[in-house]
Amino acid sequence: MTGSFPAAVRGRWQPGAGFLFRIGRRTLVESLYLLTAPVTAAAGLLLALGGLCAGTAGSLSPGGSRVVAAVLAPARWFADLERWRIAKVRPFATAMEDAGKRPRPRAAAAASDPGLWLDVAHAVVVFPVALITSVVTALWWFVAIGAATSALRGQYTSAGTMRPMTLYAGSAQSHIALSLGLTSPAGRLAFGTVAGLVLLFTLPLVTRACVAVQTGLGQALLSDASPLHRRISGLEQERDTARAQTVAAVTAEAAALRRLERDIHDGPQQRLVRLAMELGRAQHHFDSKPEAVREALADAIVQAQEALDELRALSRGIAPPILVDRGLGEAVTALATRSTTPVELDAGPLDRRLDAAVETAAYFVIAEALTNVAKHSHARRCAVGLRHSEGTLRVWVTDDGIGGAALGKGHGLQGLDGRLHAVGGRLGVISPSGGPTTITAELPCC
Amino acid sequence: MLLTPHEAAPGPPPDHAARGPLRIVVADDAVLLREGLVRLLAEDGHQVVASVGDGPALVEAVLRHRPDVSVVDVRMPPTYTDEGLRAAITARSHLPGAPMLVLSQYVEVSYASDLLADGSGAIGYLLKDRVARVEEFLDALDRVARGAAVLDPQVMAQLLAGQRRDNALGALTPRERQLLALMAEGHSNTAIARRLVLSASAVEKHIGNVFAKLGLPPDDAQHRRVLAVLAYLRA
Repeated sequence: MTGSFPAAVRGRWQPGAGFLFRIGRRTLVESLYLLTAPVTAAAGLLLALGGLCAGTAGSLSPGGSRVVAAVLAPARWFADLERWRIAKVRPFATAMEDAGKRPRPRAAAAASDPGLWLDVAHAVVVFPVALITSVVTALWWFVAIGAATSALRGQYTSAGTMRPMTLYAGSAQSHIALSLGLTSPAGRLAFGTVAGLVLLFTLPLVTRACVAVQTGLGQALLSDASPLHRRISGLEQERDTARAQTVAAVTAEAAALRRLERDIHDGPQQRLVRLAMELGRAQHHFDSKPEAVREALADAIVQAQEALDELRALSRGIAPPILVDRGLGEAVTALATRSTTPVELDAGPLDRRLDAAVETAAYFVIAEALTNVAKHSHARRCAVGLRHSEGTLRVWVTDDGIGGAALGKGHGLQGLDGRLHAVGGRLGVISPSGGPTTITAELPCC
Repeated sequence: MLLTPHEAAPGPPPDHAARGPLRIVVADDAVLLREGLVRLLAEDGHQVVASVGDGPALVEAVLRHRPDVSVVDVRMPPTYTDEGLRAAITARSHLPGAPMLVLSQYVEVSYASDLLADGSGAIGYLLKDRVARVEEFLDALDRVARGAAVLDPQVMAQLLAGQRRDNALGALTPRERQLLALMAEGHSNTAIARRLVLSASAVEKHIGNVFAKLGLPPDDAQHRRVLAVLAYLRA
């Protein structure tokens, strides 16, 4: 603030000069703020009133809340402008800086957002205040400069006696008249100069007071007022995120369990029933048809073997043994080796074992993506990447196939999305028709 | 035997030779089990007139072939829930009393209750595993074909494990309850007498008491047996 050249120079020679300069500069900035306020406030008022009228009409239509929010949006521009102005004139009021970044409900703000209505209320209330403060400021400047410079302007050069100077207050019918005397030009000159200087020196206080009133109003209505309020809304947001995460986790888990039940029912359970059936058959024919018994036992062995294979595949689907035993790096290497499409693996170092949930989610993203590559993409090769830095695990699978994968399209991507949400991660799918396809996942992990 | 609504309706047990060859429709979406079942039945001399893989196909096959009995898996496409059960009930609504032996990986009392709801008997509801006891399975199939209600012992176990509520069944003595459970498994008086080591007349007396306590009218025995079991399920 005092970094400008003259201030620095003066500050070096005269300790008080820097202070005076700062005061002067601040007063100028504040005056500018106050004098331009009626213009912006009038514009804001017009926008708010117009928005309110249109909004009232719009609220009668279906989806009124969104209509109201949309037509009131311009009123919020003024609120944003005022926040910026307040931040300029009161740089130490850090609350406003934060308030400027007040988290708003996304894009189409709902009419239920209290911030919207506070912004509108501010636009309505601030106009008369701005009018008064700007008039006071303007008059103070005008009178102070006019009076203080009366000597320079040579207003009282004519000699002779003048009529006593009288101050009037009130209407024509009833008023108070205060005679100040000052019949000599010199006396009047001295009075004018002194009064002007007094006014000039009190100007910083006046502008400070006016700015305090006006920005106070702004701070009350435009910011989330108290730190407590902000803390609450922050906590609320955290809670909502956590809740959404829990719901996603529960849903993903329920879906996974249901799939598991189905897999068990369709796989090993059928095999075992058939196995039991064949053994029963063998027993049934034991004495009468040896060839039927032999056939039944041979079939029973096949069913037992198949049941074991299916159980193994299922347990791999629940928690792949290599992932459990050796961690993500090795498990992904195993996946890459097993893939039918050639895989180029680009795995950054993992200095330690990550959270089990994160490992599992990342593993299944890669496993599912590789399955999709093999099944749907017609790709000739693909690349699998894995990086862990700054508390984020990033994995990606890119192929040179035909593209066209989408979240809503099945391919198991929807399930992956749910799985990732459950651990606070995000799934990205870039797959234009004609390829190439890139599946990315970002998972927070510390 | 040709199944017409009249013949299938509860009445005197159809007069046909025990363990005679049956005409059977098999409905199971798992080819593995269907093939196993078909072979098992064929080896025992039965004739599988149709084997299908879903509910609508079952209804159609039953209406077309009017089999002596159908063997139905509960879980089938497209819903993979209780499709088979509902298809069996639908088929019976078109062809009242058409015998159905429903197989499932697990048994639920409410399913058994749904199946028996029309009170006409000729219903079997067994765990799939029971197929492995080939003799018993074929025997149960035969009893269902003849109009009995054959419920899996597990259904009974579930009922007995549950809280005994204050109702008509509460008035039954333990012996009578045991007897009712065996009736629910579709056993004949002779079989029950053999199992409980009782004289045939003692069994008849107990059964008479059960019917009286459940307030079942002195109707034909087969019908009352089904109603008694139904009362038991709904207790």
